Amino acid sequence: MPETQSLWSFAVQQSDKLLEQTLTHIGLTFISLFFSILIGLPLGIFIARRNSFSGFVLGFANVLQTIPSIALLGFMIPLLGIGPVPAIVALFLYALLPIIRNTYTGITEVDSAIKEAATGMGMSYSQLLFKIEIPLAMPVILAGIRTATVINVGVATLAAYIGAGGLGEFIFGGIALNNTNMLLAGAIPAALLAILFDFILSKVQHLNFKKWKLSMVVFPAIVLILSSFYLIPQETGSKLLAGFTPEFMGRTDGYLGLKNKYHLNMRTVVVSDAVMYKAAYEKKIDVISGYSTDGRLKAYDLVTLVDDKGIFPPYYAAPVVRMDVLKQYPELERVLNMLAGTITDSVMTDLNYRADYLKQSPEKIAKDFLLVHNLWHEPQIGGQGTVRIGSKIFTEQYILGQMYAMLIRGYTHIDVVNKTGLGGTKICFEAIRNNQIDMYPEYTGTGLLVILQTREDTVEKLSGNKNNVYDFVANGFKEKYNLKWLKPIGFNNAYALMMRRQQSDILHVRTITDLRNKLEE
Amino acid sequence: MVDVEQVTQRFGNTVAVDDISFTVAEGENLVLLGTSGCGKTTTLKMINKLITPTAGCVKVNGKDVAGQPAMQLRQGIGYVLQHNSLFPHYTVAENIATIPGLLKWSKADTDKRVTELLVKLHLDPEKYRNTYPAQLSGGQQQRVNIARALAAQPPLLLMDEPFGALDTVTRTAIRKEFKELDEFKKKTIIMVTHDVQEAFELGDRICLMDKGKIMQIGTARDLLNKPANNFVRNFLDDQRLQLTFQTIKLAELWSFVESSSQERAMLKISLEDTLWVAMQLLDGAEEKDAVLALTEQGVVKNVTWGMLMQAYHIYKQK
Repeated sequence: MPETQSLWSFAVQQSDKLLEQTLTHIGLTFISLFFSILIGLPLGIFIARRNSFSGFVLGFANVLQTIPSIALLGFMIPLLGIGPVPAIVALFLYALLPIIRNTYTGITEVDSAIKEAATGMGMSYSQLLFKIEIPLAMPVILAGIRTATVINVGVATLAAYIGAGGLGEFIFGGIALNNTNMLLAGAIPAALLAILFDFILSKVQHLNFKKWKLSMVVFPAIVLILSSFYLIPQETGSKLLAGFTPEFMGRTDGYLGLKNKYHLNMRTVVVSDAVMYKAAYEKKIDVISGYSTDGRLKAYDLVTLVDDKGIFPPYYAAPVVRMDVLKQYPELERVLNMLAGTITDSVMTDLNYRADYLKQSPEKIAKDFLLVHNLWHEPQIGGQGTVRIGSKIFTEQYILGQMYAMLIRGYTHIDVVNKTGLGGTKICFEAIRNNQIDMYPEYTGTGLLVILQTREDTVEKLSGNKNNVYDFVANGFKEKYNLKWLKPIGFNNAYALMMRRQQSDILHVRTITDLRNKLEE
Repeated sequence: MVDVEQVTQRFGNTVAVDDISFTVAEGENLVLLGTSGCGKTTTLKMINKLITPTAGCVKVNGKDVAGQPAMQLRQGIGYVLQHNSLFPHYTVAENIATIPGLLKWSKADTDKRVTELLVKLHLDPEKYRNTYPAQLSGGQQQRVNIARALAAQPPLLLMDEPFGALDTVTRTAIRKEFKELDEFKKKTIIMVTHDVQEAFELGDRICLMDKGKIMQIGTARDLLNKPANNFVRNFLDDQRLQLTFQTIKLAELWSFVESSSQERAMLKISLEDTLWVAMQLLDGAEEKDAVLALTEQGVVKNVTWGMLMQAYHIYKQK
């Protein structure tokens, strides 16, 4: 077992990053908040004056609020690409509703006798607004801003999925890598920020009327200053920008290995693999941490850089199954092994391409494949029990999950439940260990480094040989976790650094060493 | 000062004010009296253009308000609502200084005026200047409210149920102060109330309204003694006796009052006061002191309750 590291020592060791992420997080929150106030406040005032628009505007803001935040970020990508802009736009949209609604409510709920007195004494519309309505509505408006701030601190963690940074980098990295310290190093500061801002704003909200005039100046100034935090961490860096998944950022066969063995030191952003390829294609980022069998490699004309120092071990895929399930259903192992050796690298790439680029459903792709290889069999009557198939949250795993489900239904009387999209490696592995799923497809390299956390010298000894690695991993899983690795499916879905073909040609970068040299020029 | 000419106000299908006309002379106090929904508040609000009449015209100082910019018009007219219409985020001084602020008075002038008004309305300027309305009692709030309307010395004052939300005791006290305040004496005042007592006490003339129409407009005595119709008669019936006492001035009883020479009068009262005031005064005093001293041209009459009642009976029969 690797030595356990305390949360504190992790935070100290990563303090530069932690500070950068925290500042970015505050920046994201407040830039979007600033724009929400800039738009939401006048809009709220407007609909308070023209009540006939209020239903439409509030309804629209309400609908925005009901869109799941991760989906809203997804909508942003085709429009605005990745990075801070779409993240800020999404956060801005989220913060709008509480600000518009509270401004509207605050102003419409000012006592009509007071408004009438003000009008009756000869105040103009704008005097009524600025001298009477806004000051009296201010506690309600500030409550809206407070709600919006807390929402934004929370939603801003998701910005890490689209390369906008923030504390989400640690949170998603931590989840993907089974690294609790990393997860907490992101989650605790995010929670503290929410509590802190909530507390400060509650103080502002309850200031008495005298101090309003002062706070009307100080508050926008503070928002602007906090917004500017976003700009600070972006000063340094190289000319090429890398977009890596949260998992890749923290793996020894990932960015850590690139730094140790290649001494690669480049500007990085964290992105989810769902958007990574497209972002590379659209020249938002230059280098990505792809999977060698990914269909988008083909779709977006990307090339793989040669791993000339061998930091990526083999990643042959094979189903990992609970021992007790194999005992309970003796016919299962034979059925699951029907797929063994059938899918080569190029076949897997093609299957992924069909899903990612041709937008075919995983079910159709799986069925077509089985039909072509004469493995398809009509589903039989079930009722003999249930096998739960898990899969990680990317295309290949969805397709494999469907194939296994079809095979089990076709050749046994066992029912199948598909639990797809189980986050990263950690979630899948914890699910199978805690008897939430019975099997999922895993990769030898991931088993070796992420789950078994094998020491470096042991990895060296295996010398990247695919059979050595498979045997080592299969043994380790059996002994430690009572899980069985079935026969490899055939393809090697290796981690790889990728670039646009055009850029790779222009810069003459073919290997990772080339890339390092290019960066140092 | 104010002319309301054939004014009608419709809200959708309901007619709130139905073709009414009246004139208020300079320095006069006119009370718009009636039950809720009779159109009295709507009528008031048409004078400072808070409501625009559907038909007819309203003139202030002989000029049609329709042709005047609303803001300037309103800044020249004092407007008093119920006490909860003070600006809660302004201090007492800031509330009173609202219209001077809109008119861009100098700070010194404003401060001077605020202090003056606070003193006149029996609020210690040092103590109350910087407090917020929420810290004041209902009666104090209403004093500030009146001060706010008076601040820029408007010749015309519109009051919408100004004492309506106060308890009876406070209401009577403030009404008394209000009557005695020199600032009011020169002013033209149009006041809305549903309180008959208040109308009789404060109005030079009373305009009794029902369902958007004027039932009768005239002095309290006209309404009481020469009701124009059954509505007016019925409206006043409940409190007829008291209202009658309120309309009779002591001067009118002078010739019927006998003097009791052996009593020593403790209570002084003007002949301009009403019988009702005299009765309240006697009622409030201890029995041995309950003697009024009435004076006319050097002649003094000492009067007891019994003698006053006797005089009233003779007066009534004449």
